[in-house]
Amino acid sequence: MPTDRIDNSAVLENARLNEEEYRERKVCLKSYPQAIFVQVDGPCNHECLFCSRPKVYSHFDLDRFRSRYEDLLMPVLTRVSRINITGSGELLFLPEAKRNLDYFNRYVHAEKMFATNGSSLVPKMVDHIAVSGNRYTIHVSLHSSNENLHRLITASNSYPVVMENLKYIKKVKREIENLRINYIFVMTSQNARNLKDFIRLAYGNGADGVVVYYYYVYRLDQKSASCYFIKDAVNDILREAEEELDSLTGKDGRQMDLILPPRFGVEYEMSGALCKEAWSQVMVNSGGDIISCDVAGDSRENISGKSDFMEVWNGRYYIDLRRNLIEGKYDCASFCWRANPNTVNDFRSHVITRGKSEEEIRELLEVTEE
Amino acid sequence: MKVVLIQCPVWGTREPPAALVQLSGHLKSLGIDTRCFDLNNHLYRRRSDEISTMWAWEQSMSWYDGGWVRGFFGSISKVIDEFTDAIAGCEPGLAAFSVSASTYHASCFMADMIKRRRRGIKVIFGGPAFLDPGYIGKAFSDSPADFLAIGDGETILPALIRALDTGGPIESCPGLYYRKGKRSVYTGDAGDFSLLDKMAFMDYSDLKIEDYDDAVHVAMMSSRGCVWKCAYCSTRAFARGYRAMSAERIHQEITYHRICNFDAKRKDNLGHIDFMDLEFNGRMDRVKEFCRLMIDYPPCAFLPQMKWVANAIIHPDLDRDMLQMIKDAGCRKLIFGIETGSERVLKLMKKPYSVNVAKRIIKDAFEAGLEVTTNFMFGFPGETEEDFQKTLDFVKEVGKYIERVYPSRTYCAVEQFSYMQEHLEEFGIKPPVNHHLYWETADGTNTYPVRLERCSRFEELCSGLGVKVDCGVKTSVEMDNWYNLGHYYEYGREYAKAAEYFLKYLEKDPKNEIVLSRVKAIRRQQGLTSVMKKELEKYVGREG
Ligand code: B12
Ligand code: SF4
Repeated sequence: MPTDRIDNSAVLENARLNEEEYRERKVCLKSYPQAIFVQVDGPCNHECLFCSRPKVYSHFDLDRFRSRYEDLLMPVLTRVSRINITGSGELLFLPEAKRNLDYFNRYVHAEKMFATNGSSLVPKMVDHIAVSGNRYTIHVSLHSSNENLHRLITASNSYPVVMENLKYIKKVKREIENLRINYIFVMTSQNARNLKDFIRLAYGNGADGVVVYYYYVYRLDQKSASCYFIKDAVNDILREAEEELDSLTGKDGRQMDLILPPRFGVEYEMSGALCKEAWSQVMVNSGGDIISCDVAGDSRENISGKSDFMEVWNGRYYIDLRRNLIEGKYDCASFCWRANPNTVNDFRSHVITRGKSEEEIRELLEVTEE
Repeated sequence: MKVVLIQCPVWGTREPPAALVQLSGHLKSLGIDTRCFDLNNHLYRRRSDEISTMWAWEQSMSWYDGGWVRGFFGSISKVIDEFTDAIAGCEPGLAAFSVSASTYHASCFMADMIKRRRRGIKVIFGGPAFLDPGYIGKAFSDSPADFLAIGDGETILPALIRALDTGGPIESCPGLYYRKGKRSVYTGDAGDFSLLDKMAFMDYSDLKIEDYDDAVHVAMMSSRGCVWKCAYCSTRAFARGYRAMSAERIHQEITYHRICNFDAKRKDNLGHIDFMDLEFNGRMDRVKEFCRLMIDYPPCAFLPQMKWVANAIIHPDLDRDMLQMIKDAGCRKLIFGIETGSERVLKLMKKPYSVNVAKRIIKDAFEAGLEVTTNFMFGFPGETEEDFQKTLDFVKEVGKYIERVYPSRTYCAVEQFSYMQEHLEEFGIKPPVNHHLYWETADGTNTYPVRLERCSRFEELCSGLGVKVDCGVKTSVEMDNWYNLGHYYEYGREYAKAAEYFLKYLEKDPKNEIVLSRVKAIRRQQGLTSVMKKELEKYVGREG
């Protein structure tokens, strides 16, 4: 299909139907997901404290992706309103990075989104994105507003490189409208106190938003850095962060989004809302594995060998997932603070257990009792 | 399955071995757990004075001698044991050796060590050595290797690893020789890894750039093969045809390494690129685009501009504008294989350009601010004294634009796999050629000493003109001449003459292991005077 001539009304109609089906708690869907998350894995130059990437993993290869999955995913790619192209490592450090972007840019109707540690977001890539005419939201995983802390968290020397790149983006952003930049702050006990400065840096650099996450523990040695152990301090830090932004906007007038994680010890009203990702998003990796979101558990679906995307979308995995979510039986409701903010008070919502043995999970979670 | 890639001596030590870092990057990008081990650099870093010239390319012959390698490794068994332990400690399922003629014996030795240390491990040999069928013939008896690979590791290794992991048939992994009883079986041509743009970046995580001599550059081979077919050339044969990465792909990788190696505390910050391409400008459109990218998007623009050096052919499109662009893109130096100043010899060499174009390009490159290095050869078959004079005239005319000349210290060799080697008669070379350096023309006018003498005259002229001469040898030119002539006369069984040159050499470098071993070998030969024998005994003793 000539993707640059995709009828935008099909995208809108799919989104409408998808919202409706979610509202109506449909388990079997007629609509396609509104977002697709293609895991584009690349080489990485950082060793972040909280990184979940495996020691070795295969890098994204566009030709392989296309030959294996394009036909199956075409009905999705042509209907989604967002394509997220993020995986382990830096997609812009792939040898064929531009070619990969060009491919996804063919689905002009969809906003593109990816995360980067910022070092690969060099002027060449920024210009390439800018002239593509596509809407992009880029998450810059910076986590720190100073070089030493950045080095501590990322085990890299690249802070000055990232700053230079961000300076360039600031300049380019003034001239084009299709680029949104969010600064990402994964909060650990090490950088939490830096959040106020971080907001100031992001604001000064013309970022569109700051998104703060609690960091997920994947390995035993990472446990102590969890914000779970500094709950009171974190609540203060989040409050100060809001105040800081208020004061900045008060002086300058420019608005910037600030998305904070739920606070500890607060009773959040759930009003029957349930995590939408199982209705609205599909994630696919280079092996064809399908999961609903990045913090999903071990069970998964695989697209290889299917003859139609709907076999996945309305297959056992998704049906069970949606049904369990509706019935409140699924882990997400109990252990995911994105799905249920009240779970933030449970250490399990700060741990990712995917791929771990029972023994490892027990050890990881043990700390709660300590 | 975990894979270890191993480099044995002797190899370069300026930067990590290209095949290892390239293959490691590629295998990792396919999700294969890979580690690299460079025994060459490991030993080089720990070398003692006596063997320090062993890594000089002109004196690396010992490594081609299996007996010597076994003896040497035996004498440093502790180091070798520890190195083997480190490899085995990774618990690899496959040990892959990158083998060239110069690393063959050390690889055989180490393969044996590793096989003993880690039961069940599979060993594969691959690399340039196996273009030579001779090595295929003997590697299975000289070493415990399970597989010999012919061709690009990027195509061969993933298939083999998959087969070993899954118990799949080896017969379906192309590019391999494997043992079947007493026979060896070939699985067929693996084809080239043709899309160089798909090649993952070199991986320096085990072999760090800063642990090598130069420490500040990335060495990159952005193409394979060459667009020309010079008659004497052996290197182009190691790749079929010509394959090249796109300019964008090269720029991506350079940018990646500069960013990954950035350290605000360091001044240099990976400021250099050495292109190892046989020639960088086989496709001028690629060069132009690369320059455009380096100018518009200098990697880490806030640092001093990256500089680069490349081999180049005399391409008519290297006009003033192009050369200026090359300079602006950070090129510091272009190295041209000029080889001769004689139009006639150029034709014999099958080099498709004229002397005047070469002169024009050298001058324009100089005026654009580029350093120009030019390689020269001496005594190409068919070169007369008159032709040689034209080479001298060439330097007299354009020497002022040349930053340095690089006279070949092998003068003119009949290299394996070269057109010349396969067409001796066409070039008037007396068959058979038993030694690639010591060949002669059928009419006897062109011999090794003649070529050496022309080289000396050439160097003398350059020095007189103030043109820098880079001999590429770690000793001195004078010593290299003695060393070469000593070997030449020993080879021709003219022992008195050989002794004369070796003695001269030893006066300057009395502990040189290689020369001492030659002296031991010849000192009881016929034709030496008693005075000479006594002189030799001064260095090796009576019993030596
Ligand atoms: C660059 C180069 C060098 C550089 C290497 C720099 C570095 N960092 O590695 C330097 C200058 C150090 C060098 C030195 C020498 N070199 Co050199 N070098 C080359 C050149 C031009 C390119 C090699 C290269 O790096 N290619 C890029 C890499 C990625 O490719 P590759 O090594 O070929 O490896 C590929 C395949 O061979 C295969 N492969 C390699 N290893 C393995 C292992 C396995 C298990 C498998 C499956 C596959 C596999 O996959 C790889 C990726 O595709 C070649 C000529 C050529 N056209 O290839 C000569 C060449 C390899 N050199 C050669 C020689 C002889 C030498 C020297 C020993 C002596 C000399 N005359 O120069 C010296 C070393 C002595 C010393 N003291 O330094 C010979 C080897 C001949 C032979 N039959 O083995 C060649 C072929 C030149 C020639 N025409 O004779 N060299
Ligand atoms: S230009 Fe160089 S690499 Fe190419 S054929 Fe001639 S000598 Fe060989």
